[in-house]
Amino acid sequence: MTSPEVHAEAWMQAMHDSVAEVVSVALGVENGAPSARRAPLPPGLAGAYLPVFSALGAVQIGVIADAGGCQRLARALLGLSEEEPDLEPSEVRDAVCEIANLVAGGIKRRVPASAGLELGLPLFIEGSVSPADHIEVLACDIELAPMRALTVLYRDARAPGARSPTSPQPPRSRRG
Amino acid sequence: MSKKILIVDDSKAMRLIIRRTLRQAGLGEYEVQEAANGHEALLAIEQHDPLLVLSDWNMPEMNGYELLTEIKARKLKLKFGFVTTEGTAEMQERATGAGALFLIVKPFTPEQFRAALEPVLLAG
Repeated sequence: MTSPEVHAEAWMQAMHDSVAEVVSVALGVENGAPSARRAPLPPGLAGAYLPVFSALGAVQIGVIADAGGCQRLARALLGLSEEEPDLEPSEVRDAVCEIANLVAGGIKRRVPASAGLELGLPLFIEGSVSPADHIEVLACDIELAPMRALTVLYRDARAPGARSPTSPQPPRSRRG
Repeated sequence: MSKKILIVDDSKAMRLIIRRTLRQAGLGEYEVQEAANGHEALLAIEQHDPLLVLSDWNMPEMNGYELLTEIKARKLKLKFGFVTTEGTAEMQERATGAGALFLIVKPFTPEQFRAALEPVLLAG
């Protein structure tokens, strides 16, 4: 029996497609088509992180933005109009955690079932997250003009399948 | 016949979205109650006797699957469906095997809600 492997390209494709679905269906944002990449993250962003457990090792999936971006994400999820007042911080945290949950669920559906992913519960973290050297960071933009948010995926670069057999390729867009 | 629906989700935002989606799906005539986890749901079921429970899967304290198992163990007469990000074939099989009537995958549309709920609610 071979051990399950999910390469970086598969994670990025799953993240890209899941974020596209969440942006379109849950946030109701047009032209929010994301792009996924390997990239260092800007410091100081807050957001929700959700652990995903599997035979491949633990992965963390996050949805992060600055304070204005988190407010905008939450308002988009709740379908609030521009006239409605700002949400309370606790409401923003709850909504951004739910968006992370939606993205993680979409990723789980899109990676091979053999990976056996199990979703944990989200936590909201304010301040920078500093991954260890062996943690690979994959990121995917969420365009919420004039704000921008990011979906991030932290995984152990030493895990089975972490080493890609080829150079990473940008994910295929389903929107042409 | 009870005209109540109980929404069980640890996210207040998602409970609001499900309420709104019920209205958009043309099911606004049902009285809606809320609970934040399985324990709260069991108390709400005793108090309100809902016709249908719409439950998340992953929740703190008592998750949706444990809630469904407890409802079956207590032989409570109500209908149960999941509204969850857990949409893999394995989870769908676990849900229906435990007695859930449907599983709606988040994110969802009002049309998906109507298609899943109408047959269940019309069956009385």
